[in-house]
Amino acid sequence: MNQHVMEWLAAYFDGELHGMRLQKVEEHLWTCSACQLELEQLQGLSTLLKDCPPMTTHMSHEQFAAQVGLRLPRSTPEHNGLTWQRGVNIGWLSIPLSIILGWALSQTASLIISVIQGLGVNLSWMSWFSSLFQWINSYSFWSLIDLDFWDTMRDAVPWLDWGEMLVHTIAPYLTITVVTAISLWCWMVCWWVLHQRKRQQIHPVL
Amino acid sequence: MSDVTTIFGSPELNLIASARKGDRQAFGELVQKHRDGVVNVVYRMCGDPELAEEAAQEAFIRAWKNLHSYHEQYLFRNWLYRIAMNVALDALRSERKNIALDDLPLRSDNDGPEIRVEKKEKVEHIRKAILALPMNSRSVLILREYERLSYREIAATLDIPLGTVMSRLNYARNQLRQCLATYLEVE
Repeated sequence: MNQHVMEWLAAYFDGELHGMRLQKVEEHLWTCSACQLELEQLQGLSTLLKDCPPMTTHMSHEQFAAQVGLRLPRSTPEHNGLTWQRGVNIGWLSIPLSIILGWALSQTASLIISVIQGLGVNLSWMSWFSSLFQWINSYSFWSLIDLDFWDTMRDAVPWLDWGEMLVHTIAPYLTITVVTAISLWCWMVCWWVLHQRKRQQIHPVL
Repeated sequence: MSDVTTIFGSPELNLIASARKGDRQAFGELVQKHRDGVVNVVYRMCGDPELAEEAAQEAFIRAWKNLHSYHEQYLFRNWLYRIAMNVALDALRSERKNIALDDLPLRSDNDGPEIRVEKKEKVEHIRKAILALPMNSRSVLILREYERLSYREIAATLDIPLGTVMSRLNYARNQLRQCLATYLEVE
């Protein structure tokens, strides 16, 4: 118990303790002469350190500021943040926006095409989108579980026909959404790592 | 390790905003306002008044160059102290000053009763004892004992964990108690 309070005496002396811990230390100090002595030593040291006076200079505040002003570089602090760096920052921030925009456009386009096809209208440029979705479908994860597995299970579970049709229908959209989510997550990880490195450069640790 | 500290003094934020746009007069006001704190931090880190004056000016110049990177979540004073610490560190490395505890002058019992000389000796002894501390402990001690920063402010200023602040401060105090034991006994 003594050691535990000794550990917190410095924080108590500096006014950094609060709540239950503060109460415990204060209660303990009432009864423990060793900790009281330790606290007095801390107080004595702090008083002794105050005997070391601050530095006195012959220069006034205005003279000091004037000397600093003469030594300041001509470029302004705002200009010091290089323009190209700002361009890089804007470009970096545009990546997630582009990913989300691409996802939204793909979803909108597929919805429009579905509606148009549902109305029985067949336009020549729609075949391009249909080919694209078929290509996505062929490389999506869901196609890996097709073929033999489905053939085997279909005989045992008839409603799997409906399930297979559902999978083929939503596979392209799910694939696009999953790829979008993974891309955004990768961007966030990269942003966090670069942000931490930048902080270390600006604020090096002593 | 960043920490949100209370921002007070919107006039200071206005000065910072103006200085960012190149207003040197506004920056000059900031320099005058924080000059004593920065000079003393550097002086206590270096121990040399001339070096401290020069290094303090360098600290403000670095602050001017990096004003665009200052974030309002930090107190401007603490941000300046961080730069001052780094400048002091660079200055000491270039000067290669290293004081060993064994080089500290011993208190002689044959000294005369002149209080002024004795006090001057004591001050010199304290100063050298602080300078004999390792850099990382010295910086924490100075920010706590002389600039009265809280543990959280010290942690944010030096970008170290709170536990590290406490351990370095305890180490510094224990070292100083050993080195300045004779003065503590007298008091």
